[in-house]
Amino acid sequence: MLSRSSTNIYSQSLTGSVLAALGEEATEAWARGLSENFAREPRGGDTDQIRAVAAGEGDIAISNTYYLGNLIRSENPEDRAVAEEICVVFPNQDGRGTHVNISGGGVAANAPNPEAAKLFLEYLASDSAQRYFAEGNSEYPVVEGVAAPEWIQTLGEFQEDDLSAETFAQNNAEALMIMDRAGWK
Amino acid sequence: MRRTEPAAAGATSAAATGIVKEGFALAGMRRGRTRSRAPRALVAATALVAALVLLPILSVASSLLSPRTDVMAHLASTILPDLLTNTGILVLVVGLGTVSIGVVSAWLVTQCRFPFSRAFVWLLLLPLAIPGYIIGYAYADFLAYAGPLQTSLRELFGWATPRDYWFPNVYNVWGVSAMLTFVLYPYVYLLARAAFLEQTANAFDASRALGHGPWSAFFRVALPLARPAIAAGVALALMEALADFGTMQYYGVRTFTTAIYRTWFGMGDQTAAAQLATGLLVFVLVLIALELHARGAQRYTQVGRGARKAPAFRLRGWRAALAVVACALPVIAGFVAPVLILVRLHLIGGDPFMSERFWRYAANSLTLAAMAAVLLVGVAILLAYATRLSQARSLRALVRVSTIGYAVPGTVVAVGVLAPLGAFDNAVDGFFRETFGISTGLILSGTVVAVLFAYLVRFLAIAYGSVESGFLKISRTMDDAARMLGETPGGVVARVHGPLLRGSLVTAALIVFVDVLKELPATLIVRPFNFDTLAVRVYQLASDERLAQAATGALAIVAVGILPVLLLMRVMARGESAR
Repeated sequence: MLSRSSTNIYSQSLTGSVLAALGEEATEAWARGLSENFAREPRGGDTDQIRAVAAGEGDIAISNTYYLGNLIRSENPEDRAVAEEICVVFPNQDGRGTHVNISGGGVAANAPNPEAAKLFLEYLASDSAQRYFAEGNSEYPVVEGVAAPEWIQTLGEFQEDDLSAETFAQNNAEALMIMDRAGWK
Repeated sequence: MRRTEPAAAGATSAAATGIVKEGFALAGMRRGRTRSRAPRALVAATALVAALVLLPILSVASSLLSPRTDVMAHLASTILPDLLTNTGILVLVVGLGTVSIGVVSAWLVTQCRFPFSRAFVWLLLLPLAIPGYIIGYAYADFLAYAGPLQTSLRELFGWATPRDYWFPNVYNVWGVSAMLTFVLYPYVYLLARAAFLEQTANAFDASRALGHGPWSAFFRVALPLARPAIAAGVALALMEALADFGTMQYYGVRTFTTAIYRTWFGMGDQTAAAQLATGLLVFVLVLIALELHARGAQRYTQVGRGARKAPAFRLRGWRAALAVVACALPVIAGFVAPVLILVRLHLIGGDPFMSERFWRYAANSLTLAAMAAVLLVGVAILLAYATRLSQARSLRALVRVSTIGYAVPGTVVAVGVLAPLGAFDNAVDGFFRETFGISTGLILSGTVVAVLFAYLVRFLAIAYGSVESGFLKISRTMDDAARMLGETPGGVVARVHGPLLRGSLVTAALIVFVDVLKELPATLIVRPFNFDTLAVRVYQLASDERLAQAATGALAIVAVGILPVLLLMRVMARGESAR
């Protein structure tokens, strides 16, 4: 197994979502099992995990898909070669679905220009802005009718965990403490 | 030990050796009481500086008053042992590493002649231009299992998996400490070199004449004389190492800075984070106390200038080769290799950076760095005079307090700066609303003033350390002599201190300039909206794992960082040839 460190928000969100589904005890057992199977001490970013799998340093890496997308679309042939070495697995397809991170936005309660902020958020949800994120940063568009880039379509459909980001964000602190106890560095 | 000044008459005979160890009074003349008191304005200004520096630190540390939280109990039982071990290893490796590299190379280039020895004088400074996080990113890419080095090795020898061969694992506290050592040793080198140069040849000659061999003279005379400078350098290096965040984070090494960050932002517990920050501060205070204790009552002052330059040992054969290797290795590890790795990354997928936007980032970086350098050196001179003019313990304590900010990680300084400034802005805004019915909005928050405030807190120690070590070498008997010859106090400053201090002041300004240019976390948090510096840009790209794109900006930071290094060398060379 290859993973980022427990200090990283992605690791914390993932553990927060497991916590919401399984409860504290089972989550700690899961995190401990994971940590005991780390091929190396957690370090680096998502891309580093992908590269490490491609190089054979470990068998499985936990990563967000958009980092893979950036490798696939890279101008550097070495990056594209890395992407060809690996395949993508979406876990929990028979259960609650795969954990999903979001690029979200909101308006602060005391924002001086709430109307302008809302207009901006609406713009982010427009077709053109969604295409911008999908093509610029290899992310899944959330607005229906906006086509995902070609390489995302090759990954196929998958069932996603529809747990609210608010919930796993609330679980964040407890998740981090569980990871500490489980020895996830 | 009660310090007394050598009397002027004694100084003449002491000039035969060129050195007077104060405390070994040659005549029992006490200094007058009038001189032990600093002007009131100077005391007030010192107190103000200390208060300004303390404000953000106290605003963070005030959460210590809150009871120990559950999170703190959790941390103590899980990651705290790791933190302490890693921090201990970091201090040990960086401390020993920077002292050995810095002192050996400084001694070689000042006292010996060997192939390229003149070039090494400035080559050895080059790693100063590389921020810790950038050398970390460069080596992370290069030495990784999937990186170019190991991949080529595997292809060359037909290995297939990690089990087929052994490769040193640098992704731990030892590796990070080594990398930081290679970019931090110039602090020791710079100050040790200045100290060795300013040592008069007489002292060394006298010790040789009294029967010491070159090695023994080095350890018994040259090294102890340079000790305040070396200590200042290693203290700077250690504080920088303790405050490093980017490298530790990337390499997954648990130290106080990363723990503070994850406790604050991951567990949402500011109290526990502040308590960890205090733990880090304690580490640094212990370091400072140890050094002060070890230095004890010793004070070294030189009287008069050396009659001539120190003789150069001409090295030949294997000795010359050894000297070249000793000077070349740190330059290669701390500068040449990372730059080549970055150039390679840049060529693979760098940013098209030489655009108008790039120059805006560069202009922002340069402006901030120049403003900070002027401000901080000015304040450092003020503090140094306060220390020089007054023997009062309370004043010295104030000055010490003013320099503790360097030990506080940039992130903590930033939050500590934001809180009081926000409170100030709100108070002013509230007052004007009530009195005049107008809103003043945010006056200081999100301005360059706030950023400079953060730099003042963070980097005053650097400026002060260098200015102070310059002052320490100006004997107080010189002041007395100048006054007896009819100089006014202002004249002493302008015609005695000024010329003697020039090197130290330039050094101080340069180090502040380059450090501000490289500074990341405080700038990132406190900077005005839409005000990006080169460092911020590099960080954003690197944390988005666009290392190749980040390489371009990183190279730009390195390039800009080299310019003042060259300037420094020119000024120093001129000062030396004028001798």
